[in-house]
Order: sequence, then C-alpha cells, then structure tokens
Amino acid sequence: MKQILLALIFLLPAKLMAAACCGGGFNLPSLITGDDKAQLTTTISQSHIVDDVTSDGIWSKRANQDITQTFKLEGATLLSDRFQAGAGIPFSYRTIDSAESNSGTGDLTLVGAYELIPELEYSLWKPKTFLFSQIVAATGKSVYESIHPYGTDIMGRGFWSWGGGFALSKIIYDFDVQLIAEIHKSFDRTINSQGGDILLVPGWGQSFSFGGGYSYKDFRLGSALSFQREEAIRSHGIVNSDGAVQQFATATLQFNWLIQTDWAATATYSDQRLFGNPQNTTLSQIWALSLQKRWQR
Amino acid sequence: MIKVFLLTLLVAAGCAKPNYAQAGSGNVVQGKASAQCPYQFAKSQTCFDLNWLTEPTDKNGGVFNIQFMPSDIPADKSLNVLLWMPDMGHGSSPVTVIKKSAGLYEVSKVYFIMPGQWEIRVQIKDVASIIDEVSIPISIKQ
Repeated sequence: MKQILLALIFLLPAKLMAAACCGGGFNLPSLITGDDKAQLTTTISQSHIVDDVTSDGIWSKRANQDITQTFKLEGATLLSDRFQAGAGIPFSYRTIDSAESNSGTGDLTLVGAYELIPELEYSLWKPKTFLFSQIVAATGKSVYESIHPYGTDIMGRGFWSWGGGFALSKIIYDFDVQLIAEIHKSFDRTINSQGGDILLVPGWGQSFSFGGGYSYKDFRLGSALSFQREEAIRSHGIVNSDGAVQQFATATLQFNWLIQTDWAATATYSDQRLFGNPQNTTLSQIWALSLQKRWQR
Repeated sequence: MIKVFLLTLLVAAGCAKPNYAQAGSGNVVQGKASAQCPYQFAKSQTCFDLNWLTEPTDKNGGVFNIQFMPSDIPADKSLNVLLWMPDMGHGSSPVTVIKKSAGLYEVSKVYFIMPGQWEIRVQIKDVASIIDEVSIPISIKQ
C-alpha cells in the first residue's frame, strides 16, 4: 500500500526544470494524483548555471557564479471528484559572483486538471490519466524590465502563456512509470526600450517528460527525463530580429520518503547537460528539497 | 535483458554531445570595413568608428566611443545605442550616451547580461522614429 501511495503522490517527474534563459520556463504543473482532496508543496532549490549554448550548438563554460535560490509554494485542491485546481508561485534570490544580488517573486502558475481515466479498480495496463490546462502569468520581473547591469533582478520569463497537456501514470507492482506531454502558447507584448517600442512575438512551446521509479517500504527512487522547446522570439519596432529556437533536456534523479501517510519529502538533483541537443540556452545543475502535506478525501 | 539493452541504447543515443568553443580571450567585434569608413549607415551613408575605451567583462561595464566621420550627424537628429541578443530576443540594461564634442559620443554602462552573440545597434533617431541603423555583431565571452 505504501509503495502505491509513494508512486501515486510522486507521479509527476521533474517539476523543477530551470529556465532556458532569463528567469523561467513553462514548468509542469503540480497535480493531485493520489487519493487526496488537497495538497501543499514547499520546495527550496538552488540552480547554478554551468554552461551556455549558442543557437549553433556551441557550448561554453560559464565563468561566473550565477546562482539562483528559490522557495516555491504550490497548492492544489479537488473541486469535484475528478476536477482539480492549483497554483504555484516561486520566490527567488539570485546572485552573480556575490557582486550583485536581488530577490523577488517569479511567474505565477494557475492550473486546472481533469482526471480522464481514474483507477477505480486495478488494471495491469490501464494508466491513470489526467488532462490539464495551465496559465503562466508574467508576474515576475523579466529581462525586459530588468534595470540591474547583470540582470540579477530577472525572476520571470516576461510572457503570459497558456497551455494544455496530459499526464499518464501506471503502477506495476513496486515500479511506476509516468509520461507527460504539453503544448503552450506565449503571447505577444510590447516593451518600451531605450529609444522606442519593441513588439515581441514569442511562439509555441512544447515539453515532453517521461520517468519511472521503484518503491521500497517508505522510500522511492525515481528518475525522469524532460525535453523542452520554445519557438523563436521575434522582435519588431526599433529592433527587428528573427530570434532562434531554444531547446534543452533535463535529467532528474529523485529520492522520495513517505514520512507519514500525509507527509512526504523529496530530494532532487537535475542536470541539463546530459541529454538532448541543447540550443540557444543556458544549462544548469539544480538541487532541490521539497516537503509535501496532503489531506486525504 | 533485451529490454535493458534497448533502454540503454535509447538513453545513449540521446546523450548530449558538448561541442565546446575553442578557448580564446576577450570579446570579438566583427571587423571594420575600412579605415576611412569603418561602419556605414545604409540610408544616409554616414560613416563612424567605434573604439573601446574599456572592454566589458563579467565584473565591469564597458565604455566605447563613437566618432562620426567626417562630420557629426545633423543637429535635429539624435544618436541611440542599444544592446540586443538576437537569438534570445532580448536586450540588456540601458547604456548611457553622452556627446563629448562635435561628432564624438561616449557610450558607457555597457553591460551584457550573459555570454553569447550580441549586437550593438547604433541608430540615428528623428524624434520618435529610427531612420537609420548599423548593427555590429559582438561575441561576448567569459
């Protein structure tokens, strides 16, 4: 029973994908996947930019220490038997070589989800399936509003986004596997830059994540791999440019501990240098600890 | 066993293959066209030179001069300079432009917030609109 509970509550892998660039991507949502009516998750994480990759795929080592520490609060509650809603907001502290540092809130995430295929009785093959829709509100200061020379005040991506996708989960004995796919659209905005207005036109983005884990007594060891891609951001106005596609992959190793039936802790290590064909992005290492409180139905 | 092999194959095929840039020092600005007219605006055919007084580093902002040649831009026009990272689709913090003398401008507070391919956009502005522009690529290293 504990193995099933562990696998269920940690259905979603790699929720800690760091920014492709400049303060935030489209993180996967925090959903209730177990037999709970509400949950609250607090996460502290530290990400360290290790490499930069150009749009031609040329890597370079980051010489400075660009470190972001984040405290993220995420909550979700059931609205009915199959509908749920949730929200998440990060608070970050960013420092570069200890020379400049800033803190602030990041982008607010709102999510709604529907349990399309519930697991009412055990099936060896039928996955528990969720459909979700997510809005990312550009509440964090972005690179477009940044006033600090090294951009340590950048906390968000700078675009409102709307997206949707599905999540599949299957528990087979002590093992569990998950798959999440989503697509999102970021919306145009006009910024007033030095010398005039610039219309920024971002495009569609996609992410795909799969993972699995093994549970033993109160513990679970899991891993996941996530791929994220954002279309180019084009600009018009006093600056005209076509931009370039951004893409990266995040590999995650997770260790989960079911402290009590309604409390769980997770330690996570993520690395963006290991897989895929990154382009036009920064690559980070991320460490995180999270604590989750759940209220059962 | 076959499943383990297939999984290993799948993972190995997807491993990142870092292609690191060759080590070099300093930031690289695209070469100038000629000594007489290092950079030229497309419409007005006005020439100017750009010379770094202090190159930007990851610790300090840079300062450069823009010298119009043979004469200054018209009095009813103004000079606008901004830094842009075209692939990423964003700029950097605003620079400061000060006219030092006829045809000579000093551009300071030149910070690039991350390494990569940037552009120094040198623009001639007529009240609210940009009427001419030169984009100078610069590769920022660390």
